[in-house]
Amino acid sequence: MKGKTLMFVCRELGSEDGIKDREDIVLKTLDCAGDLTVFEVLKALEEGFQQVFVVGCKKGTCKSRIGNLRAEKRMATVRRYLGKWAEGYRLEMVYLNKEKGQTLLDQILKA
Amino acid sequence: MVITELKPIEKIWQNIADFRKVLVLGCRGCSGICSTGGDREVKLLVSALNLIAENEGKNFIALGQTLIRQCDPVALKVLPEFLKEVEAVVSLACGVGVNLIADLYPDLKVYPGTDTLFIGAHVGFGVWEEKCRACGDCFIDKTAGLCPIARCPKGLLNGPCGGSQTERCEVNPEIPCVWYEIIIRLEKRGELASLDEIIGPKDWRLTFGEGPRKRQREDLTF
Repeated sequence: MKGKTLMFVCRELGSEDGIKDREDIVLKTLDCAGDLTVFEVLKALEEGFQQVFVVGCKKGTCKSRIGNLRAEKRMATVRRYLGKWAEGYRLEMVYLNKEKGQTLLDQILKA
Repeated sequence: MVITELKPIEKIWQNIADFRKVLVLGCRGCSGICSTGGDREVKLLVSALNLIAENEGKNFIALGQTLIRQCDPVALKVLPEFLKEVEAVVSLACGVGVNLIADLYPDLKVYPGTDTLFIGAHVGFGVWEEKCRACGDCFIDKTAGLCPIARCPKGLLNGPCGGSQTERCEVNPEIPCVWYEIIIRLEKRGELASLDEIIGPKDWRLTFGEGPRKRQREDLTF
């Protein structure tokens, strides 16, 4: 991954394993991916993050029912606000299951 | 309310790329209510424009302010306070707001940040539908409150047309035939007989006749 990375991760997905030791990755835990705001993502890009990952629970497993889908729509709004300039950043929505034996980072990178 | 939509950011940027300081001006009226130009959208556009400027290597700063309305000179009176060193304004109000700013401040470069779509109602989360064309000659007392000018693609004054099938519109099957709905409602209200009377031609001069429309109430003017 190039440049600074910010990961918004749903608390339900748990562990910071593999992430907390990486200097190039900043982790922000959300009570639900649906708590993410468009402004937070734009602000992160203004602060110099080149990559923003939003990590929510697999579709159909969100405890808030549609929090993960809300997060995806907000990422789409970020892209709409940036238009063609969004291509200069890596803006990704990742859906994960909590899997044993794998660090969160491994799962995100694999997704 | 007046329904608006944010213009593509490329179009907004095209107008202001050569300025150094730009004010994004929101409106808490219709535009704010339909999530196009309220406080939140101003904040997002300011952030996006500053980011784009950084990408383009421009010496540029966008600032944001939101007024209670932009369609009223009283609400626009405070605008000069926000214009220190500002070279241009991007208005997130409807076209009325942009026009009024241009009228009141002829030396100010004001650009629209939204497209004004129609007069409509909020019918569900994130969904707005046109309900009125502001034709100036309202006859919905005869049509159970439903306006066929706005809601029938053919704008029929006496409907339905021959093409209306299975309660849907022949022009756009996605929408119900408003004339079908009018008849069902009038029947329920026991007013179906009101359709025996042909609705005569409308006075379209009230809509298109003499340029921009104006209304002056003698009881309110001095």
